[in-house]
Amino acid sequence: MAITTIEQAAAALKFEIAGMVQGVGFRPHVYRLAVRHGLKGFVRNTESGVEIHVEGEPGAPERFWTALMDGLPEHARVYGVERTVCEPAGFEEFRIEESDSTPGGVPVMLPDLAPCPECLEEMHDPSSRRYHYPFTNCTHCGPRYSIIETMPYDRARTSMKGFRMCPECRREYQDVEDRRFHAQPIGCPSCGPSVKVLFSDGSELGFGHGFDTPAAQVAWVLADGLIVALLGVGGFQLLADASSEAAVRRLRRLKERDAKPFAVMVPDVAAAERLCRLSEEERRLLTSPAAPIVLARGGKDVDLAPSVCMFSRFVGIMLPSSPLHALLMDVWGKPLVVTSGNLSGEPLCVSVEEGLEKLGHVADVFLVHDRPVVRPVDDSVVRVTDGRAMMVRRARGYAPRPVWRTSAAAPDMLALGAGLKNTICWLKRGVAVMSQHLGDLSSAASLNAFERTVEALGRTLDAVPQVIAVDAHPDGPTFALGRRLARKWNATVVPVQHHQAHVLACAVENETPFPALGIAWDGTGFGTDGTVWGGEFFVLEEEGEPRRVARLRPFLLPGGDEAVREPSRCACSLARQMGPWRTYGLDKRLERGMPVRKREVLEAMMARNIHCPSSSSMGRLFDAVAFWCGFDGAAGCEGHAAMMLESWAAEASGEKMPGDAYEWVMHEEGGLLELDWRPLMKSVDEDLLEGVSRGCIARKFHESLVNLVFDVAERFCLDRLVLGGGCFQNAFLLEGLAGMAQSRRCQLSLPQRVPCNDGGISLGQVAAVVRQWKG
Amino acid sequence: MAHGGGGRLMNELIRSVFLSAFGCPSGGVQNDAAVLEIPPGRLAMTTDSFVVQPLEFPGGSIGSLAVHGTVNDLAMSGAEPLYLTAGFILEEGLPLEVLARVAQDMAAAARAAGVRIVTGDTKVVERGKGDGIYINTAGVGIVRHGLEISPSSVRPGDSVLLSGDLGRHGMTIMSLRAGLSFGDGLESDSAPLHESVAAVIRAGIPVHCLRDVTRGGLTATLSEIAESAGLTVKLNEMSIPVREDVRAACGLLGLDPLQVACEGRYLAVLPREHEEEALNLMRGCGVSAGACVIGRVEELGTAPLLMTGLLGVERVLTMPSGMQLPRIC
Ligand SMILES: [Fe+3]
Ligand SMILES: [Mg+2]
Ligand SMILES: [Zn+2]
Ligand SMILES: [Zn+2]
Repeated sequence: MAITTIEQAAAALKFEIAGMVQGVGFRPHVYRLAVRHGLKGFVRNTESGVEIHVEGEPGAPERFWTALMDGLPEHARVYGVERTVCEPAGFEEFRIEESDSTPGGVPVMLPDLAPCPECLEEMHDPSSRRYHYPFTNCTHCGPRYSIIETMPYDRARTSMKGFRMCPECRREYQDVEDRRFHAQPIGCPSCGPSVKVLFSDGSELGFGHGFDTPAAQVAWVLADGLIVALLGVGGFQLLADASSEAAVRRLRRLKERDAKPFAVMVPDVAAAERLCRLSEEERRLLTSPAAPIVLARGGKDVDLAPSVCMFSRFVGIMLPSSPLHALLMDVWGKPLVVTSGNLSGEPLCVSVEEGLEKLGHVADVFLVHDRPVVRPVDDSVVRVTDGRAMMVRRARGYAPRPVWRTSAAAPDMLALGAGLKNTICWLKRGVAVMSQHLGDLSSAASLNAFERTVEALGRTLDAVPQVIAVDAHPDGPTFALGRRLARKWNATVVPVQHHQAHVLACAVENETPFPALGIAWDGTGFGTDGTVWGGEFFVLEEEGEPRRVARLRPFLLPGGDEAVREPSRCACSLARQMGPWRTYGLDKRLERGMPVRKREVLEAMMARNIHCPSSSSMGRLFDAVAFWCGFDGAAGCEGHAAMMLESWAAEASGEKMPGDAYEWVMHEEGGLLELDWRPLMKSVDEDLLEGVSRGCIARKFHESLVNLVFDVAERFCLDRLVLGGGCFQNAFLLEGLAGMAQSRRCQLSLPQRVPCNDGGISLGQVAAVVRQWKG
Repeated sequence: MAHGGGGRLMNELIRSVFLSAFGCPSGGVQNDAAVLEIPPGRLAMTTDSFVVQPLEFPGGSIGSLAVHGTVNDLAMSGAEPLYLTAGFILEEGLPLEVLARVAQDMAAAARAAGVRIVTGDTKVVERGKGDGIYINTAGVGIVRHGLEISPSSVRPGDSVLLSGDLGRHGMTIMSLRAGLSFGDGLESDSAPLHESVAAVIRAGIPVHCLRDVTRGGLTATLSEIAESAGLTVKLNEMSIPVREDVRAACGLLGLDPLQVACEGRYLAVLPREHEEEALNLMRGCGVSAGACVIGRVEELGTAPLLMTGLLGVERVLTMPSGMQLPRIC
């Protein structure tokens, strides 16, 4: 206790704070507090956070510290503090010092934040010098990650460095009492960035014609049914009138986007409520500084063109995420389709030249600005299930916040994620920093963006990886790149199995205690036995690799990827492998849904094993059941058939169910529990023949999956569950699991901060390597 | 057909089959070793083994394949093929008439290619230990040019020429196995390529690299060239010829036509200024009448092999591991 006493009475203390303390008004806050406590010394940004030195009356530094911790600025997060008692150095005042770049820490960058209420008010105030200024921001809001070139976060190291502050802005920037004290992206109409409206050939659209702002001009263009490309916070977006079927269809055609729903931006929460039934959590997310797209249940009469949401019962909805969007929505005033400005398979276009070149054939008019976007950052997508926010796509507003903290002694590493919905994850001194969503790595452009992100994040973290974790798929893009980067950094490459990564991501995010049952259900991933996995159960212990204990009974995928695009192929495969059970209903369905010749060819392929990988994929089982229940044609987007099945199940949730959920049969097979879908499929078939509605069948199927999860858990005597894989984007399934978990007193961990789909794989890879290192 | 020393009668029958096809008892001359006249120049030598099901297919058989494969390997070093050897491993139970047809086909292919089968050997293995017929051929050819034909000669700016449409051989085999049939009959592209190659070299065109498009298709062949050259090959998707029926069959089986094997197609990488002349010379030969420029070599970029599609999106083509696993999650 003696030490405490000395410390409490210390006349000088030094604090080294790690966490999200830069770009949130932390230093002015410290300044005001220190002055109020009559202290001298300094505060400064370091690479890893903030350093404070305070000295004064004995005891005053301690009182200052308590006050600081009691009232941190809104967006600040403190992860770790190192405090040192030191000798007073005789400072004459309290100063905010220029940044210090001491290596060794883990710098934390802040994400881009939507405009705060004060800034919005200023923009709407005709007497303000920032009236209608589309780059208004302050220490509480505005761009961060998308403009940061290197750390620490200072204007000179952002893409604002080319703009010289005018005297008035400089005064605000230097005034500790001002909301814009040290707001790095500060600017105003006379000194900051500005917008321009261009035709797709790059020529400027002149002002006049009665339009006083570019926003008004663009709104007029949109009202004409045209497509606008807007250079937003993290790159281009494409905009179209959400009530015009013609405009939305044209956008779909030009963007080569078949069926994936579009998100819509609305001016305010009231407008959002008119489109969707919002829960409290959904409202909170919509209005949060991250301003993501929220997938909310559509209301009764959704006033949107049919081609916006397509088949989905959810509407992707968002509020203005930047001052420019806010100004546009002020004039436009109704739902607006907002989608990423990229060619299919490529990353967002971030420069004006790139936008004009690649999107010139899609957009009629370009709304651009001259504040360079340093890196592509897409809009984030979130959904709420069982009252909890679950990330679907983690980008603007969230990335690159750390997602996990582990022992600082763990080796620094880099996880390259999966080939689709890619994110990467750096581990530096035990802090896992995950990149924004980088998309599919099939194009050269996306691979380049991916490599740049690897480099840029690594540079800001000042990290050199000892280990590079990659997806174990030998044809995957991360495998090849991993080997190349490993040579460059002299690091070891560790392949991590896809589904192990899925369940580990969820386990570490939730800090789920072990042992636990990990359930990984997705489309396809490369398994350790050379087959395709996707319906797997793992036992997770304190240490070691997750042990695969159960899987779906494997079936063939005739034509590989083609079987992913055409659910009828999976149905055909299941029908063939029913063994003693004949599926008459499915046979009839296949007669209607597939040409005879094609069926013959698929049968021959399966009989002779021509391009028919074997798979235990749950996603493909969903596809087959969806086809059975009436899903026709090809999947227009990923998970299309499964989403249909989910919405049929949800539609029927009020109906009286004929019979119980379908039964699964389990049996031991080569040291694994095999989950046999054949008796279940037979029951599905019988229901179909008896004319049971597709909604009821879909519901019984979902319920049987809920039962399956808990039956397997019981079998292994586990009452903690962790989930991973794209199948868990299914809200109906998750609600069923959550309900059952409650009644069975099981602890159900959901992927929340990190997507359950392949966007979470990179964190799982980090976690897998950390376990190996421990073991 | 009976195996080993037991089936004296069988061995006699096999001898007679080869005798009628090649004019000698086991695919070659009756002496244990062939003594060859070698014209002046450098010698090229290669060997390859052939395994295919079914043994006979539209456009050829394992016999003609065994000749073309080895002739083409010689041709890809710019050599003029002269002599072949032939080793047969026959499975007990193989119908003699099948063997006879394969042997005849092989002899005809050799004659058409202007090479002599100079020696050979036959073994019979137990039923179930083979796939009907396996054939090994080795070949000797003569190199009369002074070019260094290899990936290390490839330079940025070079043109990549393909001698014809892709995927016919692989899809012919695969379609037969899957019970697919085509109205007008899809045939294997199996053919000897040395005359087409010779036409280009004789004209004095400084060819940098030659490679026949076999297993793994265009993707594997070009990845290999680009990787060992340390450069990037950029393809234009629209310029790569694939027949409609091949494309349809690929769609049905879920295969990528760019990864399907050919047996009568080759790639030539050469300086751009000789592109036109080389194209004309290639088009003048029947086997390469459909020759075209499909891409260009550049300094090493994002990946060794890139392909630009209709909208200008550049896709990365990766060397297939041969497992044909789905990539879509
Ligand atoms: Fe996955
Ligand atoms: Mg060969
Ligand atoms: Zn603000
Ligand atoms: Zn200013």
